[in-house]
Amino acid sequence: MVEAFATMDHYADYCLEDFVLDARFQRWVRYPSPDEETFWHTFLAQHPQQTQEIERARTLLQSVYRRYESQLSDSEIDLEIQKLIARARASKESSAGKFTVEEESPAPKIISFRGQYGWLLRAASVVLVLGVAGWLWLAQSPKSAYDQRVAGQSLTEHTNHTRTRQLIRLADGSKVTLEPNARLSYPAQFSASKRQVYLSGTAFFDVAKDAKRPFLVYANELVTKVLGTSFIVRAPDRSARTIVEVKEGRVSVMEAANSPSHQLEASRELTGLILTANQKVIFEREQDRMVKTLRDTPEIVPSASQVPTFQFKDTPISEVLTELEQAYQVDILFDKEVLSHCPLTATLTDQPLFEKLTVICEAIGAHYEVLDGQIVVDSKGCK
Amino acid sequence: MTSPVRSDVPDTELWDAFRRGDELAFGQIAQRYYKSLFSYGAKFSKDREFVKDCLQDLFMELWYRRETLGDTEFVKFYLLKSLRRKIYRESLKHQWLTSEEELDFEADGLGELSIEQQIIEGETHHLQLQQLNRHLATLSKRQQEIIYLKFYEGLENEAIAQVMSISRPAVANLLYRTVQELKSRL
Repeated sequence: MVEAFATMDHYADYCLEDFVLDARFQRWVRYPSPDEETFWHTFLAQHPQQTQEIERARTLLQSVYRRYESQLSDSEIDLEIQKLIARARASKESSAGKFTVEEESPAPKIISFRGQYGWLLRAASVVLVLGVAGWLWLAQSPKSAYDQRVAGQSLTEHTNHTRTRQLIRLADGSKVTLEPNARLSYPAQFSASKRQVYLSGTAFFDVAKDAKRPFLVYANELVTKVLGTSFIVRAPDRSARTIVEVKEGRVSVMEAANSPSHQLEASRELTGLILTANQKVIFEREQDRMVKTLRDTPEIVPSASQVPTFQFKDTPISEVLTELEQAYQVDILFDKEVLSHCPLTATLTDQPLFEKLTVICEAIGAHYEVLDGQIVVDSKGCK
Repeated sequence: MTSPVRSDVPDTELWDAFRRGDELAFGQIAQRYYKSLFSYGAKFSKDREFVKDCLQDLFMELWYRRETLGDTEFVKFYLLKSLRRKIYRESLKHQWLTSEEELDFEADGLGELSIEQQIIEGETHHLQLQQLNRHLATLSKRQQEIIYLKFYEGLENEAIAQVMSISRPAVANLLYRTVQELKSRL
């Protein structure tokens, strides 16, 4: 504390303006830690004439912090960060040409997701929350959909405690890649009529084809049903959004509450909202609604013909768009008549789909938007 | 004695991992700046999803450019400035703004205290805070943005000038005037 006392002296002549602009003073008002409390109380004990100035400076800063505070929950942030990591990963994978999965990586990376001091922050906030509302949480917190469903069933549960993805092989040959913290419950052997698993968190599914036994994933409010395909479910417990993304093939997505399980197994037809390659559905808990759109970074569907190079020389835009449609297996709506007269010369091998579209649209002064899982190109012809 | 949340400069090791294309390091860097950037963006648009989309794009641009990025010293300042520019451009594109208009900086919350907070703060203090809150609302958009960047984001005057595209003397001047105005309300 010797050092601390030494630095105190230069605050002796501070006035309100100096205090509010001082980084250390700001820190104390905003994030009062025990160290800072001790420092400023000691200072006040030694310089009682500064009491009023400090109180006013504190009030001024508090009112600023309060006014400009934004409400953003940790789970909202986590969701966005996960999205970013997935997009970054996808951009690497699409430039490498194909989707690769890290199989149970031997050495977990030493990077902590929440940063070097993350534990400190969390520890601090836990203490605060428990102090104020701990009993409320314990008494009223409902069990997550996942916990309710899994309770009482004899299932194998796997939780990915590592910081990298983990691959699980199921009895039917299906492969599930779990993101960190994701949990999957599944029976050691599937029944004769259905393959049913339960997910909390984010996972990528590569489902073995078996037309007689639909594969059902229960996650938060949604059930995703497939016969054989690959797709991703993002369903963190209590998250406001549950997302299903299709990589290849077709799946159907329903709200679990509206879909009695006997009905789900009985029909081999895909009912509910149908998603095809590169589409995704976002279920918003608050509004209780499903929105269909495209994945953030659509990928070339591996089974689609051979991998195109996307090199164009005086190619009519209508042909360019058709080539994109086939490679990514998405619907692109455009006026064939108008765009068959617009030539394009460009190499679009490495960009993600939406960047390709931006380049194409810029070339002809058009614009595009994603509507209901399709791409609509709006153009009045070439410039 | 630096507070953990204010470590604006990412550790060299983390930054290097990010530049080599480690997406977890990228996620960690994004995590570090996310709340602060969201909070800034939310002052320009009430549409939270729009702000989140802008941030997704912003970070992805950072990711695509990772190999050509220089030192780490100005990351936060660079991100704040880019975000402001991005929101401005997007607002023009959606025709929420015309090119003659400027972005409006507005608090996204009400700054009101909950009942519990009021009890904790005590009656007199509470009244004072409310009065200041009302006064903050009457400040010009620029004044509000300057005190936000200064007190909330902890930027130097030079950085504030660059983020807002105004001169440094203008920042110093406005900041001084604003503090005086608020002081007179105490």
